[in-house]
Amino acid sequence: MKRNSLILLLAAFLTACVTINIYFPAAAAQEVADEIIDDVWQLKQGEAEDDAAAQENTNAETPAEK
Amino acid sequence: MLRGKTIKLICKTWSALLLLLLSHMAHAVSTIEISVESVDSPVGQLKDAKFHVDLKGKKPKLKLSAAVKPQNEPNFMPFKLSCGTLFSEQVGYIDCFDGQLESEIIQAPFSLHIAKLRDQFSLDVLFNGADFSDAAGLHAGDGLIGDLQLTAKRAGALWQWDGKLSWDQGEVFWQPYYFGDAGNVLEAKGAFTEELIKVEEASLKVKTVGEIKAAAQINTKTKVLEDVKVSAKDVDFNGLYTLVLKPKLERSAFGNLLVSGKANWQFEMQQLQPTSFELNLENANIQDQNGKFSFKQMNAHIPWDYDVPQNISLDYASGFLLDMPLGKTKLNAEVNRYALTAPTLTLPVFNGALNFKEVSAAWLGENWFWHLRMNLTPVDLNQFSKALGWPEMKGQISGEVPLVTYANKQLNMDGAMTFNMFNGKVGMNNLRIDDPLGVVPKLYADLTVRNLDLGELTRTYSFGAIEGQLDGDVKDLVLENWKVVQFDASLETNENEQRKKISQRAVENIASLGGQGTAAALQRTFLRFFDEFNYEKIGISCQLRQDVCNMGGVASTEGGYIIVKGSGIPAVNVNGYTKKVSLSDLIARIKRITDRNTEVIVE
Amino acid sequence: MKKILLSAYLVFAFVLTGLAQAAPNLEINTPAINALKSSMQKRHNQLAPHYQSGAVGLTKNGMIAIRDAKAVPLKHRQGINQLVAAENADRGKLYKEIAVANGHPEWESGIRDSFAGRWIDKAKSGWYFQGKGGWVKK
Repeated sequence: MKRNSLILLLAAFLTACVTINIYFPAAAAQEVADEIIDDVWQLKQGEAEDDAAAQENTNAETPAEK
Repeated sequence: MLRGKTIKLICKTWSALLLLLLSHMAHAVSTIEISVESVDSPVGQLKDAKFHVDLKGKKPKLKLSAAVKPQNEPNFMPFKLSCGTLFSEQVGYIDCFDGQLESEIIQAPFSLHIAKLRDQFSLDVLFNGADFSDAAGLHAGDGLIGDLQLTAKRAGALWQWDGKLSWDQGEVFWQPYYFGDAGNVLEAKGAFTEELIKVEEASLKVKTVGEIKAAAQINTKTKVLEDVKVSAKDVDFNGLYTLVLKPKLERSAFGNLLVSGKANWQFEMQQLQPTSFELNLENANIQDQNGKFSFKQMNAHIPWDYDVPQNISLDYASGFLLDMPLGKTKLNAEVNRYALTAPTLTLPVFNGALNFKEVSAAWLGENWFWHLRMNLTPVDLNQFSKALGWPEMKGQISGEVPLVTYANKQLNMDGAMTFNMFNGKVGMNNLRIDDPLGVVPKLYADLTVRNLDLGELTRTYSFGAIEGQLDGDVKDLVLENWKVVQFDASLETNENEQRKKISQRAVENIASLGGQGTAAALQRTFLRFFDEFNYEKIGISCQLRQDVCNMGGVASTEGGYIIVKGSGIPAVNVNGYTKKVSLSDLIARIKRITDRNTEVIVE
Repeated sequence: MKKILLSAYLVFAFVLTGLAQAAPNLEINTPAINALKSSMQKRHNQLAPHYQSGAVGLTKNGMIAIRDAKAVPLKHRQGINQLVAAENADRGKLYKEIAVANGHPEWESGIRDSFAGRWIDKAKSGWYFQGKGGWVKK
């Protein structure tokens, strides 16, 4: 667990150094476009609700962690 | 004799054609076919016309195909016209039953009666399910069933005409106007010459509105409506708004309203330029469907004249503007061509009032530009905070703003609004609001906080008692859609208050903002025996960007910051170590604490 | 009692959610973007029949345009210009707000391009979009 997060952190750090603020994040833009279009056009209604429910669960649990 | 034969003729002129047609009608001919290469007239051209008259049945049948090009149109348009039954037994009279007119832009089953004498002309067309549409679909009708009667008499070079158009079914869209409910009647009379059509007394009775009267001149060459006068007296405001005003206001804040009441309206235009206008409203209700504003029981007298300054007046019993309730209001102003001025306008809000002075506004290039001075007769903060859905506060808001400007959908305030609250003052400076009535209103401001009484504050929100006074600044505050997304805030206690005490519960509550783990920390030490502690300073700072708050305190420590710096014996310090905090989480936690504490105060 | 014991340090340590994982994604959860989204969502019920009838089509640059006003019932033809103008105003603001919310106003055109492609990809069959040679029915 700890090792994983360390690797993640390192990876985040490395990628941050290389890409951040330089290139337009095309893939991320596509992702947010998809998310917004699904909302606006009310596509995938069922899935969206499931996602929201899952999100709430994690939010409710985390404050209890130390 | 030409019995049983077909007459085929090729004609060059229109009069020759008519003559032939009429003179042979009496003879027993089975079919007549006439082709005309082209006909010119002042109103347009006709070409490739083919007449086919079938005389075999009891009554003759007519078929006509041709292409027509009205004057000033670029292209010829082919059309077909037929009559199931054609009467033309007397010279000058034509009856056509089961008629059908077909072209690209029109499909119309009809019956027709024409009487054309030397100086007189009358026409009666019954159309029975007519559809028409121009190429772009901007002038169109669907399923029209109705009656058009037109008579004209010659008086010298002038023709006097009189017409009535009524329809019982169908709908018409004539950009930007839509007539959906049938039962409308248009009556008009006037005169025409070759260059000019005069409409002298037109009356349009629209079922949903009432009667609209109009007069106009149409230049037949330019097709321009030269002089137009329209008036509607004592009509239904909703009908008038939907039919006439809404299409013209669609891009403004008044384009999506629900209205009711009575209205008088008149309008004059010369050479396509408006010259005068008047709108009177009686007991009208206006409600923005986007929920930005509403006015109840409004009476308005809004005259306007291109040349003569006019006084407008408006009053309403109640209303709201962006969640802010408006009391009974009476407004007067002078309008001079494209400028509006008023020495004072008073807008009662809550128990106080917004007083606008030296108001001046101008309508330039489809936009309003305003500037004015403003002061606020003190408003009860308790009502204000409740109305805006803020945490409940006690105190008053007042202010004096030397200059407010509104231009390009941007509201700017030079000067300060003061919120007197918790025995101290919060000043708001450099207020700017972008697009206040739009989808994404944005508010920018700087706040200064002085001598806020922490005792009052903590009692109001049941946070646990803290004695002291708070100073600070909130710079570069930004609200998007009235929600906070940015500020640089720094608040700390000052030295004005001698008694600087913090209760044990307040310490616990501050600590518990950090999460569940720290909440009971104090309880585990001997400090639980003390009710309150002395402090040297309490302070917190936050640089907010979107939802992330970059935290700080009264001083830094290694890897953290001090929120409460204790003094004396025993001293309690509260330190923070998390630099980045989610503002929404923080607010949720504060709310949980104050809610819980309010519940606990049963004693 | 010793003096040292008389002062206690309480730690104000936030247990935070969500902040750490924000790295590679674009921020779209801002009040401005949410307001635009809900404004467009509300309008969609009115626009959907016009996409279906071909009256309104999706343009190459992430906007919409009137393709054939005649496909709109007369009753609704009056409002169609306003509907399209309002939608385009919201879409323009949306692209700008996403760029601004992520601290890169210069990304606006890139974001617009990404959306333009995705609106068309996600359009239902029968809707029209602007191809290279003009309107194409999907």
